[in-house]
Amino acid sequence: MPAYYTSKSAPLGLVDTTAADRACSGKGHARLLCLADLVKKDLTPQLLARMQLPYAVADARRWSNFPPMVYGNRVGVTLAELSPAQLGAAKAMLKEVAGTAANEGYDEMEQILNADDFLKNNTGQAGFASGNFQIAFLGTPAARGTWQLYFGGHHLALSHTYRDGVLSGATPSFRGAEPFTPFRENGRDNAPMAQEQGAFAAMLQALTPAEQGKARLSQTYTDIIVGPQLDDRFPATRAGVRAGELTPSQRQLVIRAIETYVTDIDPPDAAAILARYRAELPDTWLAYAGTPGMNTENDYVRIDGPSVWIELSMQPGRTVPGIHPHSVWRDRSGDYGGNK
Amino acid sequence: MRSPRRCAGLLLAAVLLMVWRPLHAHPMPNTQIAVWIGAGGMYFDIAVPGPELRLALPREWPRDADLLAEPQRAAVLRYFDAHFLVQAAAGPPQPHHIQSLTRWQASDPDAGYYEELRLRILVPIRVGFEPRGFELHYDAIIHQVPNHFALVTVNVDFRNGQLDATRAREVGVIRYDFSRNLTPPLVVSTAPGNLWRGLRAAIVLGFHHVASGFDHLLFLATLLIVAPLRSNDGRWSLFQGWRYSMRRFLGISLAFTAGHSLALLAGTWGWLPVPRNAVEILIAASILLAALHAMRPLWPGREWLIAAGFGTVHGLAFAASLAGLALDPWTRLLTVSGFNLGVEMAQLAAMGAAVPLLFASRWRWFHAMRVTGMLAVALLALWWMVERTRLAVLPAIG
Repeated sequence: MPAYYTSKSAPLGLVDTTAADRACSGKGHARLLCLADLVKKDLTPQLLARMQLPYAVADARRWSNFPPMVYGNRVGVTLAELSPAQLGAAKAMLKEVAGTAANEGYDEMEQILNADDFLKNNTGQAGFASGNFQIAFLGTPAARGTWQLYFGGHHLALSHTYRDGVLSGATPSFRGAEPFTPFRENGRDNAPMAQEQGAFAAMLQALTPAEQGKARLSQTYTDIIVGPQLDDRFPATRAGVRAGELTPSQRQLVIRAIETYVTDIDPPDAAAILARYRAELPDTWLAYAGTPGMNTENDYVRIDGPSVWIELSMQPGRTVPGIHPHSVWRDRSGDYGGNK
Repeated sequence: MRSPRRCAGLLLAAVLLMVWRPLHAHPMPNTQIAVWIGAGGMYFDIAVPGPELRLALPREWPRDADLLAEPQRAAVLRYFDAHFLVQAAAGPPQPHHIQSLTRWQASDPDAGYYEELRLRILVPIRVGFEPRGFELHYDAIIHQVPNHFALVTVNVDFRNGQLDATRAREVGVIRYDFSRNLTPPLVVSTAPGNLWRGLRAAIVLGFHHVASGFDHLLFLATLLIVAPLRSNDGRWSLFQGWRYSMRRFLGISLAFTAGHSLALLAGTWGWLPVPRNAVEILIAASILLAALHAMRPLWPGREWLIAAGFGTVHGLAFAASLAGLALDPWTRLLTVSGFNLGVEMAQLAAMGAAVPLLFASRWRWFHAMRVTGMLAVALLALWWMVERTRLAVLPAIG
């Protein structure tokens, strides 16, 4: 494990953003540029060299679901290495790009970081800690050109690509959590993935037995398939049941499930992406393995459309007993902003 | 003089009664396939996580069903038999034979402890089959659990001088292909190499094993330091003349080498069991006893016998490191011969360096130097014994 991984916490919920909010009061992409400068301000040359990288998809691909003791190849500076002012700017930036809905977007990420502190405090294992989550800029944030905000750690990957000031891709977006059951950490209650699990279970349980039979995959899934470093591993033929054959109320539940991932980004961009996914819904397929309750070991569900790809796997607990989710939201053409 | 010997005997007995359980590290709970390429055959050592295997077996047994008990065991063997195949590119399938199926406890920093099954599959190299470029068709687990994958490494490749299994070379990953809905075979290609490369690597390996084995060299010095001396009423004398010294020096060296070589052959060939941890502890014990003997004679005049016995123990230690290279008989013979040659070369060099001991034994203060030095060696050996025992017992508790 590289030396910059420590056991220090960086509980984002306790970080003060007042100074960053005051310094960068604008909106949208212009505000991101201001905040990015603030995150980089006063960094040592060594840290700056790790945080500000040239734009390269090869570096964007360096995300993972694994904690740093298993995957040590992430890019960026850890939160524990930032000053309070830099941390405040980083938090303000995450809130700006991920939106502020409860249990989604920024709030969900804060809870995923808290889960790592929970694991650290309950296992003592080196590598778990909210302070080990990393932030990097791939390409210099600017009004013209391509850059990506990289934020990630155990069970989390955020990849927001901007081209000429416009969000050109919000994926791959990995979310997971262990423990999955509600837990208390850093002074608050946490259940970051409960909404996702609930929305997908509701979607599957609303299918008729015949539709469930069609949607059920014959194979067993103990994890997601288009995981880290496995870009473009989408199945050539879509499997399961087509949303176009479902009733309006069933389709609404599909949209609701998609929303638990798309609302992990700022509302205006989320609305635009959701409109596209809604238009493509008739050709979007649902499939699952295991039980439709999404509450049993190795339950698995996927939404596979012309653009949207979301898969959620409820897999055996690794560090604490019980099951825990891995999930990824991808876009068949928009991952990494469409760059290869 | 009787009690120290009995104590030492009891210590050895205690050490031999220990139980060992090896641990194996994995990057994550997926399958690992280690390929061993010998001159007459290939081994495929396949490590499979039990929980994932249970999901893929044609019929699901209870979660805690013992996969090594019948009828599960036979079904598991049939299953792997059906999901493993080696063939030359566009050539006929090569016959294979599952040699062993064992259960281990594996651990991973992310997944913790889990059950692991290991298989060893032998593919004899027959006329007309070139093991330098072959297709490995393997889809056990993967056909049913498509997110599962198998990491394939070449661990030993004799003709390319690769004998150190800890320096495995990754040759590819077997994954499910979702665009074609199948598990494509992995093409494994290696350079042709030659037998001399393998032999040379074995010699170098043997030489390095001695040269880097501080305990081995220390033991030789401890054994040889009394060569020029004679036991008088339970005490060591001073230098007894060149003829006497050289005769004993060579006698002890030869006896040690003979025991060592025989043990190496026997151990590698599987004629003698090699409990690795026990051997490591026994070596420390042998150094302790040799150091005690060098302080006060315990077996005067019978050093050669002791040397042969201890040589056997030390040979077994090397056999343990070679036993892992259990390749086909022809490769094994070449490996053991080369390794032995390397070991003896290093030993001769070390013994040559020990000749100054013969000169030193003429000096008046040689007694004090010997006793002080041997006391330090005895303490060091004792510490090794404690430490190696602790390490050997640790995994069984953890």
